[in-house]
Amino acid sequence: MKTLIVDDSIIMRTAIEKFASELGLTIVGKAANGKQAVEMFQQHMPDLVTLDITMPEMNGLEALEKMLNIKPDAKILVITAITEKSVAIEALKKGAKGFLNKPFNEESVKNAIREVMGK
Amino acid sequence: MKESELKHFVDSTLQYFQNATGEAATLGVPYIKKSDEDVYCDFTGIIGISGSRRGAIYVCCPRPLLEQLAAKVTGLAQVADDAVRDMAGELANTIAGNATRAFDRNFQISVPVIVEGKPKSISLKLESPVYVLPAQWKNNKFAVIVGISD
Repeated sequence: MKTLIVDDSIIMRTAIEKFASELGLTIVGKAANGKQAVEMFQQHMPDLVTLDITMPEMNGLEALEKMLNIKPDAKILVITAITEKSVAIEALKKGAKGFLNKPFNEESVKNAIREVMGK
Repeated sequence: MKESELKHFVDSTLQYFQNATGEAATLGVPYIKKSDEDVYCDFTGIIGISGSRRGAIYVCCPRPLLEQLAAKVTGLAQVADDAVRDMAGELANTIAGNATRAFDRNFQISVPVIVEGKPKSISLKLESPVYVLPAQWKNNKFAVIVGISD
């Protein structure tokens, strides 16, 4: 499964890449902001995207809409530090298949990815 | 900011270390920072607050804490220098982001700004009163500094 990792933190991208690779996913790109994410999405057409929300250039919610306009069946897992409920509701309404709050650990990331892949 | 709201930042700080590392952090007694008091550290992750509130959150960390935390979070034995610096921003982002549940939808957090050494001429200003939460994880002392308007 082609996977795109989107987060403005190097640490988060590194951790998610490690955990996703261990699940057998193929990482096709890593983006540090929403604008770069949409460009990489268009280029690689991934099946799965892990997506942060608070990022420079373009935030994750805006990127989410643009990516699903390009490929509506892409599975998007939002991974964010924001715990305010309406943000999760908005992401799911826009078409995200899953929502995971930071801080995460190996088990919570792998479980969230497995759950989204099963949808 | 009301003193009672400080609890949300205490909770999110403790929760961060417990969930991300499985090893608890401990907190000291919070106090109000004096205007002429400097808090020194190797790296500071800064999050600006806008929308329904104004101000900032600073997370002031020594390098060894960031190195150990980055290794723990990524599962890698060693992490590069830029990743250690990045860890300061991500820690501040997560502590601030986790506290958003206690505020309204218009409590907006910025992307992190990371400063090495003593923060100078930063546009993201702390609003008085400024609370300092002294904390420790393993043998590393750090501080979460919160200055947000009512």
